[in-house]
Amino acid sequence: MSEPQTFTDRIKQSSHPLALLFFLGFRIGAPVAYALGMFFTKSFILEFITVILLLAADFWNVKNISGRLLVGLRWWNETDDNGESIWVFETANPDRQINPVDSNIFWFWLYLTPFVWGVMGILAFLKLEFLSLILVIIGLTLTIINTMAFTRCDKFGKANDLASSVFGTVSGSMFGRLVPSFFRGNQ
Amino acid sequence: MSKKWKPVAVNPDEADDFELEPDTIEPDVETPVQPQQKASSTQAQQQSQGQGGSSSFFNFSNFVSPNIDLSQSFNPLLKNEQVREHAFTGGDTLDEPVWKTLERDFKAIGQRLLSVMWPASLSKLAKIQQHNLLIAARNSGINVGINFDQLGQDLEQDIANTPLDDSDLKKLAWDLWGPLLFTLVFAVILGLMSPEANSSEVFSGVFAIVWSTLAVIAVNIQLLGGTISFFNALSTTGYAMFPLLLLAITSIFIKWSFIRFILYVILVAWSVYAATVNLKVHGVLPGRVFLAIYPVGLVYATLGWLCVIT
Repeated sequence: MSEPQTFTDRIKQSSHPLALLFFLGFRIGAPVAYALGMFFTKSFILEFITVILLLAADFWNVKNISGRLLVGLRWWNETDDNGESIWVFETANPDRQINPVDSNIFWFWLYLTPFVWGVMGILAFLKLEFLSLILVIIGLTLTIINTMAFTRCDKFGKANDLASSVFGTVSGSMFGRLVPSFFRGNQ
Repeated sequence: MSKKWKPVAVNPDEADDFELEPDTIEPDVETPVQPQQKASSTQAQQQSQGQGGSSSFFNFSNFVSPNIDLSQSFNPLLKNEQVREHAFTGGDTLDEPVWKTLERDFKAIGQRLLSVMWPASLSKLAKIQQHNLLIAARNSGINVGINFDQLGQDLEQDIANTPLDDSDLKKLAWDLWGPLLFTLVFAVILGLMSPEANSSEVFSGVFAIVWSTLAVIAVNIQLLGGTISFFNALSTTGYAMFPLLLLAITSIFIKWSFIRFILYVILVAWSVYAATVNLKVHGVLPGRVFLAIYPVGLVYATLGWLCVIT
């Protein structure tokens, strides 16, 4: 995967090109709409709604569509009879071939977007734009939830061979040190 | 989602057989151990030694992992959010088509909306759930301040006539799509109806205030006990905002404040009623429904009043 490839080459190698395009569209769309929104519209309300809806769509899309099509993982949270919250992790059959292009792009953007939102949060705080900070906090929360849940799902199932994915191993182990033990495992 | 929610299944006949077995505490006859071994012993052993009051001289591991367990102090808060994880064991939904995923979520949202628009459709379910919760509370020794025998006799006949239907309970899956859209539209309407200069401040202020108060309310509901989780409470109180959304929409067209006020009373009452029924279904303990609904009613009344005076 180290040789340079154009974007269209990567899309052509993908097993689920449409899912990949939607994934990238929502993933990148929300931060871009946040960063460049004020160049296109003077209305803060319009920008706010656009970013919120893009974020919600991205959250739902990653959780329900991209995860299972691109890397064969799915997570959700349900409540049992006693009101305890249960994380359910579903992983694909190990025999199932995971396309490395799909997998690399998925994990790369899964870990990158929380950092992007974090940087924009620091910028918004330094510029004292507290209205925008609401958006950044929402974006940070939604992206981090997905990142942690998929990281746990992946560790839980071990369906995906992380060693083959450079981004997965590096950022996965780094992330493991950063996240609280609550999300890391069941010890 | 795929796993159906089941009510708290407690057989009332077994409640009488409930008895405490005396704890058999082994006397602490452990021979004095070397400090090195002690440091490597587990925390559970240290705690039992501490309770036994045996030789407890300076022990470094006490500083690393103190015996005082603060997690007990936060027990009411953490009780419902204990995380267990298990692998999915149902059918394979990983390869389902996208439209099926969409359809399932849209159906869930529709069910949820229906339960707010016509709360009476849930009243039977609420009764049964409350009955089950009452039995569960009695069995686990929680005093909810209700005479069980009297209420139980009233309800037993109802339940004998109407067996519990599992399919009614699957709308218990929570989601935040409804609350998100409701608060967005609500905030947009209030923002656009305020003076042009500060409409964006009003918009984001209303949006943030609604979400933070809903979160505080959800924590309150969860602390009151029962089987409701934080996000379920958030979702329930958020969906029950739907009548307030109607109030905001009508206030665009109706400028006469008297009619606005009448609508305000009707729609806020509808919201509170819907929230009450839904909270009962989702597992607030019987004697504490009023405690749960009181702050919800205050918030709905305040938010509705914003629509009247705008």
